[in-house]
Amino acid sequence: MSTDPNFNNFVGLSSILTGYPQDQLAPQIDPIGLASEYLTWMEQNADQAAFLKTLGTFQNILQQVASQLPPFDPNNPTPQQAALMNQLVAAQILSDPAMGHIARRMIRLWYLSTWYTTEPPDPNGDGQVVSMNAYTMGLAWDAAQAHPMGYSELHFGYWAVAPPGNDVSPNAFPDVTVSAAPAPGQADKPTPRVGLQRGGI
Amino acid sequence: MRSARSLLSLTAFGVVAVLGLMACKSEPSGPANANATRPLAATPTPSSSPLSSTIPGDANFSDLPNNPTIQQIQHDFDVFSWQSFVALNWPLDQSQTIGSAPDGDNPTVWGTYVESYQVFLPQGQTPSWSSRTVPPICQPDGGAANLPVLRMTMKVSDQVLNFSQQAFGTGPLIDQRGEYARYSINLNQDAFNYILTNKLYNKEGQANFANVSFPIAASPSPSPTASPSVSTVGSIVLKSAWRILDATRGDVLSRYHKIDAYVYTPPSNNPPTQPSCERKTLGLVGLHIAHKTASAPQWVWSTFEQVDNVQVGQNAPAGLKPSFFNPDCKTCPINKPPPKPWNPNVKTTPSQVTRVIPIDDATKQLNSQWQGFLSGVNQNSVWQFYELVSTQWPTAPAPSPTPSPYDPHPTGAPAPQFLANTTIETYIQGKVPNTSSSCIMCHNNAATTAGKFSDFSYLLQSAQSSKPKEQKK
Repeated sequence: MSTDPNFNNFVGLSSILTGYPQDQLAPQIDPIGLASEYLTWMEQNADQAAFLKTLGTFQNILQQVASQLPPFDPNNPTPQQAALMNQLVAAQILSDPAMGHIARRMIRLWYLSTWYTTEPPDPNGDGQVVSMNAYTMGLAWDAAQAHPMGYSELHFGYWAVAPPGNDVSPNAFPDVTVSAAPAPGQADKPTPRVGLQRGGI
Repeated sequence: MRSARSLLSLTAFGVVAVLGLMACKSEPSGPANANATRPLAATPTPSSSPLSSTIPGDANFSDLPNNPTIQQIQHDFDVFSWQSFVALNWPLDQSQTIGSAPDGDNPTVWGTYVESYQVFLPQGQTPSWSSRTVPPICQPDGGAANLPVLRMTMKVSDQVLNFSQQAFGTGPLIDQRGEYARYSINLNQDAFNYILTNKLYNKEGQANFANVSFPIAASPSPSPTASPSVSTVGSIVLKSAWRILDATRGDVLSRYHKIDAYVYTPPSNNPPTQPSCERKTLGLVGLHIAHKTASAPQWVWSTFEQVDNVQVGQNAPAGLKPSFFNPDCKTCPINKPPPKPWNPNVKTTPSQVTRVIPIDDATKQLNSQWQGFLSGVNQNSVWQFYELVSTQWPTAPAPSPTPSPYDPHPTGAPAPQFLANTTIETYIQGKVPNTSSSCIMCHNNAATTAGKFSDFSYLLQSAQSSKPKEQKK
């Protein structure tokens, strides 16, 4: 993690708010740096007092968890510790009017790549996509196992195979052809499936 | 965490193998290899110099700490790029070191690699490593058959797509004298053998082949009785950009690697273009090296340029101007293709080219270091006038060298996110995802003529059918 406590608290809180692990939101080897971009954006566009109070409150939550359920590694919490963190974030941040707004904006930022100036947002009259990278890396695409229009990191031909399931086989590249008809002899074989996880973030 | 773990988890599979490979110096040789005249061991160089004829099979990560930064890994890949550049440009004459000839230049190892148009032949014929075809118009005197033929005026070969049909042909590059830059694509023996063995050189062969997966460096511990032609370096594809040199018009030839080649313009209907062929001296201005490795199943993408392309490089004589930029023109449109029609036989408006993403400081420092090694061999070395722009590599490499639709990160989150050579991706430089030049992102769309993913290589798209064409009714 970074040596910047604000960055670590921002990523840690983002992980709880989004449900995505910290190392997916802010990989150690990160060629894009979306978490840093979002932090900078929040610092420049959010209510500063409320934002800093939110990060400080999250820091206190970590200390509470460490105190109640030691030993505690914020990057690798036990299930009980994770549950307690979620409970404390809900009680101390999401329930607070000012910090709750900040937290909800963070969720929208990560999932929709969009910054809304009003709370609640007016999707028809408000909203700004933070950047081109933010657009392509919005968690909404990943959660829906989809990708932005005009931007896919999947190998050529991915559209010809079924979306993923839990029974994906990692052993063979399916005979992917851009054709509606099954290849000869392939009609009775299981439909190949393709993982739609994105390569970024 | 993810990426570092992914990278380092490749140790058993790749890095150790690579280190062993480097220690063994088992660069392939033999009758079927392009480097047939080269010995297995590297040519000795001054003891303090890292210059070697051994083509590395992968980057060496042995200096990395437990939790490396992206900059530290980038450095290792950049060193790999320079090692590859030096080894691939090594002289064929084993008694020499790179650039040690009096004029500082030398014919190169990769210059003997087969060109793509010699692989994907008309009627899908079976290619051979050593066969060459030269357009009759180039040989009215019937001689000099061994000269290269540079026929591409854009990144995409006109073997299959003519000028007006180039899907990705964003435009030709014109030097400051109005001459078209020319391009070539070469494959090493490993890549060629894979295409040959699997009959991927024609459409029918591709249709019968399910899963294209170019080979990486083989085991570093081959049996003593193994065939010397066993591959050990992995698949390498090079794209080179050249410009016609003319000393009488101000070109400083001593700053270029040069070849004597046929500059061939095939006939075209749109725009109306007459075939032409002239024997010229050309200077290397850009070089992509794409190398599939154990640590980078999405390939490592190194790109080099001659230092005078868009600004004048180090030790330039007074008055020298960049090849593709006019510092005196304040109104020339920047990084815009020339107006159509694009007829290489006719001189046209020069391109006004700038580099959109600067070379980063760490790479500049590494460039100075390696340029010093090269000038240390010979102050006249032409190779000191080349610079690494950057190396693109997957931060989340695929778990296997065999591509799979189940790869969790198909493109591997490449670093740097964007990479362009001003002579090869001139007009698509920038930082717009999926639009600006990114080697891995672009080549992730590569497919065979049968519509199957082709392991990051567009080469296979050039294949032609072995069946007779149907007569139009």
